[in-house]
Amino acid sequence: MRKTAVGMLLTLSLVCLLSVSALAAPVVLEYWTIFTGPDGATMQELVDQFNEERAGEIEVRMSIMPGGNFYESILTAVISGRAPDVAIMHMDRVPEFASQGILLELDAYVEDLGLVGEDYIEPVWNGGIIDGKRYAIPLDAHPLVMYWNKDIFAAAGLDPEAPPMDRESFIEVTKLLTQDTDGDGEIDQWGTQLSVGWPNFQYWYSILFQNDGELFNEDNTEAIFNSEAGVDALQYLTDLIYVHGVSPANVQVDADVEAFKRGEVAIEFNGIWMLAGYQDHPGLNFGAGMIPQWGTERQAVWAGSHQFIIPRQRNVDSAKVNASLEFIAWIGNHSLEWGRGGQLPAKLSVLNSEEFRSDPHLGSIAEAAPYVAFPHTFFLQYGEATGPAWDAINKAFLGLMTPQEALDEAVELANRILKQ
Amino acid sequence: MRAIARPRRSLFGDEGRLTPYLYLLPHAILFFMFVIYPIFKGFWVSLTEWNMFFNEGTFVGLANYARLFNPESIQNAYYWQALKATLLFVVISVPPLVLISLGLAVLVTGNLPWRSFFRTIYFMPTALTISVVAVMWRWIFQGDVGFANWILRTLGSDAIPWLTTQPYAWISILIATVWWTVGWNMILLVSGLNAIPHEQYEAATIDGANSWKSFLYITLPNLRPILLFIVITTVIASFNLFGQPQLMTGGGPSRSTFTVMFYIYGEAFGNFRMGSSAAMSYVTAVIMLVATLTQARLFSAKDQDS
Amino acid sequence: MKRNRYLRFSFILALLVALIFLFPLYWMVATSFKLESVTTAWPPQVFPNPITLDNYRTIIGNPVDTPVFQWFFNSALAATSYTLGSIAVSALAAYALARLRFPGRQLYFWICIASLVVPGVIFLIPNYITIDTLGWVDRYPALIVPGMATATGMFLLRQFFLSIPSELEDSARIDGAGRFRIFWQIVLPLSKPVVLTYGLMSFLNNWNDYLWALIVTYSPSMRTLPVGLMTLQGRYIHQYGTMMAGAVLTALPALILFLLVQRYFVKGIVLTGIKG
Repeated sequence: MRKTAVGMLLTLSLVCLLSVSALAAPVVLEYWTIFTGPDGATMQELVDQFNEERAGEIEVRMSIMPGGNFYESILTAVISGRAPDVAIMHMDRVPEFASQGILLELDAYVEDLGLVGEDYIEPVWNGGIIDGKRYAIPLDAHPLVMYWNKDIFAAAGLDPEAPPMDRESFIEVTKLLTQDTDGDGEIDQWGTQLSVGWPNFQYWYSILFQNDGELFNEDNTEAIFNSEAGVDALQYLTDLIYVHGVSPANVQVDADVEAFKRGEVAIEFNGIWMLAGYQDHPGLNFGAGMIPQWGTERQAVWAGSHQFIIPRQRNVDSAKVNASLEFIAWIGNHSLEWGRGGQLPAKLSVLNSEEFRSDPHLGSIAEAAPYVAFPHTFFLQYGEATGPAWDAINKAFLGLMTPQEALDEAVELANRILKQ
Repeated sequence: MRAIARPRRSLFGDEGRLTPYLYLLPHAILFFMFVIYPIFKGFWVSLTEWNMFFNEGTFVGLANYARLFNPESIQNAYYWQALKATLLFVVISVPPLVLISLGLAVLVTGNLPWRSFFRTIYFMPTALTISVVAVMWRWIFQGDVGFANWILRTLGSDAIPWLTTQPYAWISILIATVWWTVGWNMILLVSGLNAIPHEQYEAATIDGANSWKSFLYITLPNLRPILLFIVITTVIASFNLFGQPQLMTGGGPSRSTFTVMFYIYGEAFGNFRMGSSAAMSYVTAVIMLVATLTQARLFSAKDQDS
Repeated sequence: MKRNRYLRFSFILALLVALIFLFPLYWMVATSFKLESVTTAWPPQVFPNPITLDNYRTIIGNPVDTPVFQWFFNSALAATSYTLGSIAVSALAAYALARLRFPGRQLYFWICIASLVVPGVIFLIPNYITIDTLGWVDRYPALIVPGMATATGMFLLRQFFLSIPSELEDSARIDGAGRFRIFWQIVLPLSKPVVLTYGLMSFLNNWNDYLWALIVTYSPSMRTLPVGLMTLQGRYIHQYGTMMAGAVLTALPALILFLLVQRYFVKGIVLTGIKG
C-alpha cells in the first residue's frame, strides 16, 4: 500500500512538474526573413524587442536567407516538415506558393486581430488575397526611390532640393551633371547610372505603368509588354545611355550604388532599403524621393511589398499559429520603427503619422505611396514569365538589340511560359 | 558400413558461402541505392509530372522530352540555348586546360630547382571550393574597382566590363576555371612524365634528336593514355559548369552564361518541374556519352595511324 | 652551357607563373583585412592600410545570419564521417572482390566500373527524391551517406589489395588467423598509402562539394562552408571586404589540410598507377 501511494505521489509530482514546465516554456517561433541588407538589422532589433516584452511566453528566432535561397527552400521546407512558423514573402510570390497549397488561410485570424482594409495601402492589402482567400498580411511597401547627390547639384548651380521630375528635365539635368571634373579627358561624374541587371526591370516597369501599359492581359494568358508603352519605356532608358550619354553602358549590378557612395553619380535609383546604407555613408549629402514621371500618362512607381505568411504545417500547432499572429500584429503596431529602417509601412495610420512624415527622407519618399503600381494580379507564373523581360532590358542596355526587338523576343518567350 | 560424412560448408565464418556477400553488402546496398537505382528512377521521373509535395508523379509518357523539341515551349528555347552556351565553354576551355597543364607539367619535371614547391603552388587552387574561387575572381573582375581593371587602366587601356558583357564574361569564367583546375591535370601529367623510361630519351639523343623532337616523338606518345583520360574528364567537367556562372555572372549577361547544369538545377529547384528537369538531364547525359565515345574513338584512330 | 641557361629560364618562368597563381589568394587575403570604405578606393591599395579585423568580426560576430562556426562544424562532421564511411565500405568490398571467391564477383566489379561512364547530371534529381523519401532533407545523413559507395574507391583499393603478395595472408591463415583478422591486421595496415590517398581525395571532395549540399540543405544552421559562403554573397554582395573574409575562412581549413598532406597525395597518385 505504501509503495503504491509513494508511486502515485511521485507520478503526480512528475506530471505537475512537467505541465508546469510546459506552461512555463515559451512558444518558440522560427521566423524566416529575406532582409539581406540593413533592413535585416532593423528587423532583428524589433525581434529582440518583442522577445524582451514577451519573455517567457513567446520567443522568436529569426533567420535571414537571401531571396533566391528562400524561395527555393520554402517549398522543400514545408514538404519535409521543417518549415518556419512564420515568414516574410514578397507580394509577387504569394500566389505562386498559395497555389502550391503551402500557405495557411488567414481570413478568420485577420478578423480576430481586428485588421481592416481601410487601415492599409489598398493594393498591398488586396495583394494578400488570392481567389477570394487571404494568405498574407502586408507589412510594408517598398518603392523604387530616386536618390540624388545634393552637393553635385549645388556645385552645378542647381537647386539641391528640386531634382528633375519629368521626362525632358531629367535629360537636361543629367546631361548638365555628366562631366569630366578633373580634365583628364574621361567622364568621372555621371548624371545617372543605369545598371545591367537589378533594378533596371524596376525603372522600366515604372515607365511602362506611367505610360498606362501593363505586363499581361486581363486573364494573364498573354504577355503584352511589347506594346508602345513598353517599347517607349525601354527606348527612353537606352537613349539615356546611347543617345544622351548620361549613363555609362555596362554598369555592373550595385556598381551604381558604390559609385553613388563615392560621389560620382548625381542621380541614382534603387530600392527604399538602400536608404540606411546611404545614411550611414560618411559625407554623402543626398536627397531621396519619388521618381520622376518619365512616362506620358500618369505618375506611377514600381513597388514590392513584404507580406507575412504562415506556412501550412503538416500538423497545425494552434499555439504556434496564435503566437505567430500575435507577433505579426505586434510588428504591425511597430511598423514606424520598421519604416524608419527604410520601408513604407503598409498601415496608413503609421505612414501618414507626424513622426513618419517628419523624417526628411522618409517623409519625401512617402509621397510615392499613392502611386505604387502593381500588376492587376499576381499569379503563379508571374516570376517565371517576367524573366524574359529582365533579359530583354539587359540586352537593350548592352546595345545588343533594339528595344522593340528585345521586347518582342521577350513577349514570345513569356507567352511560351504562360502556355504551360 | 558407416557413410563418411562430407563436411558441409557453413554459411558464415571464414569459408562461409555467404561471407563474401557480407563484406560486399554495405558497399552494395549504398551503391545500389544511390548509383544504380537512381539511373532508373531518374528516367522514370522524366516520364512523369513530378509533384514534389506528395513525392509522386503522374505518368505523361515522353511529354517532357517532346517539349524540348516543341518550338512553342519555353524549355525548347532555354535548354538549347543553355546547351549552346555550354558547348561554347567546352570548346574554349578544354584546349587551355590541357595545354597549360601540359606546359606546367613539363616545367616542373626534370631538374628544375624547387620543383616540388612550384608543383604545390600550381596544385593548390584545386583544394579550394567553387564558391571561394568564384567569390575571389568576381572581386578581381569587378568592373569599377576590381584588380583586373586597375592593371588595364594603369597600362593605359580602357576598363573592361568583365562580368557584364560578352566575350569578357566567358573570358572571366575561363580564367577563373583554368586557375582553379589546371593543377589536377598537371599532377596526372607529372606522374605520366615521370613514368617515361629514361632510355627512350637517351636513345633519341644518340640518334641526334633535339628536345623539341624528343617531346613530339617520345613524350607525347607515351602520354597518350593520360592525355586521353585528361581530355575526356576535362570535357565532362566543362560540361558540368555550374558554380562559376551561378556565382560570378548569375547566368548573364542575358542568359549567355546560363549553362545546362544551371538550367537543369533551376528547372527542378526553382521552377519545381522535376519531371522536365529529369528529362533534360537524360538528354544531356546522352549528348555527353556520345561526346566521350567520339573522343575515345578519335584518339584510338590516331593511335592506329601513327 | 645551354642546359644551365635553359634551367635558369625555366626557373624564372616557373617563378613568374607561381606569382600569378599566388596573387589571387594574396588579393583575397589582403582585401579581407581592409576597411570596407577602402576596398573600393581608387587606386586600390596593394597592401591594406590600416589593417583591420572588422570584416572578420562582422562574419564571426553574427551567429544568427552567418553562423560560420556552425558551417565549419557541419563541413567537418560531414567530410570526416563520409571519409571514414567510404573507406570502410570500399575496403570491405574491395577485399571481397580481390581475395574471396564467389559467384558474381566479376559482375559486381564491372557494374561498378561501368557506372563511371554515366554522367553525374542524371543522379541529382532521383537522389534528391530518395533523400526526401527517407526524411533526410536538411539533415546530416543527406550530406554523408549518398556518395559513400564509390566505384573509384572500390577500384583503387581492389587494385592495391591484388598487388599484395598472397603469401603474407596464406601464412597467417596457416597460423590460424581468421579472414577478418587478416583483413584488419595485415592487409589494411599495408594499404596505408592507398587508403591515405583515397581518404584525402574523399575528404576534399566532400568538403568542397557545392551543388549537392546546396540542394539537400536549406536552413542556415545546416549549411556547409561552401554553400554558406554563397549565402554570404547574397547578404554582403557589395561588401567585398566582408566577402573576402568569408572566403578566407572557408578556404583556410581545406588549404591547411592540403598543405599538410599533399605530398602523400601526389605520391599516392603515382603509386596507384593512374598512368593508364
